[in-house]
Amino acid sequence: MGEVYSFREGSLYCWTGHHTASGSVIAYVENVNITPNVAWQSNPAVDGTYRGHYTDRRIDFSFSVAWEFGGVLPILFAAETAVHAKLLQNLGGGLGSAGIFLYSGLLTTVGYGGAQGGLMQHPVNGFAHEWSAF
Amino acid sequence: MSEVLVQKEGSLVWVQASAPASTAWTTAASCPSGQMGFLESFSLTSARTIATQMDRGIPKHHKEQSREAPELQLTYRWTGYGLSVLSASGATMGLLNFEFRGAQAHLGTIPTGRYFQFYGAALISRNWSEGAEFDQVQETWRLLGYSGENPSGYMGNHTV
Repeated sequence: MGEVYSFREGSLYCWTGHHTASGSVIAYVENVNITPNVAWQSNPAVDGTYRGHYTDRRIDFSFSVAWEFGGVLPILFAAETAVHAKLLQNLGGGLGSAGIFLYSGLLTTVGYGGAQGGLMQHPVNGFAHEWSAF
Repeated sequence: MSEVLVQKEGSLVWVQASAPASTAWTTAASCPSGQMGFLESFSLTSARTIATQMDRGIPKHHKEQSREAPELQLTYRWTGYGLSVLSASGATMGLLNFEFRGAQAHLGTIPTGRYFQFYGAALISRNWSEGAEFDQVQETWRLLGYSGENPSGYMGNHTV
């Protein structure tokens, strides 16, 4: 039985260009939410079997990141280009890692927010249509 | 069997940090440093949050969720000069590194003592009080990290 992953063992990457590039790790991530959805349509064929095919593949992601000096997210958003994202969870000590890779997604929101006594934050939202788990 | 260490064998020195770091001793060349004199007490507190993972009601393993920033509490007699945390330390806040040595004279010249290094200390509170016998300062410093116990240190001005 392996160990579960904790938030502090995760790394989030977001970059543009070729998907094989190593990507920039996003620092000061406060929370991460990645939700893949596949819309299936299933219809019977004349022989009584059912054929399933998907009508939509979409993975939505949202995370909140502290606004740091030199951060890449506002720049990626302003570029209005496709971005790749990767969430990697690593147990460390050779115990294993896993994650999810989002290909050619789009950033829909990179906001700016803060409150008295707190840090300035970017709420980030986006989506993609291709992904793979690893 | 070795001997326990006592306050008389301890010394605490400070040095201006050159950058915020939680696992490294960062200093610039020829930076300000000094020894804490008339130190009545000092203590380190550190903690972390662990979530124990249960499988059908049976504890299976622990997961470290977070590490609280360690803190140093110092109480010293005031000689008219307090610790001034200088600016320009590679961060928006002035930071010090502290090093503690517990001398092990009973072991001879090698090893000289056991060391702790305290990284990236920022002053979060200072209480000053006047007294008939001595004036006293109490300070709490929040660290980015610490290392110890170690067999060696960085500072050469431990005088105990």
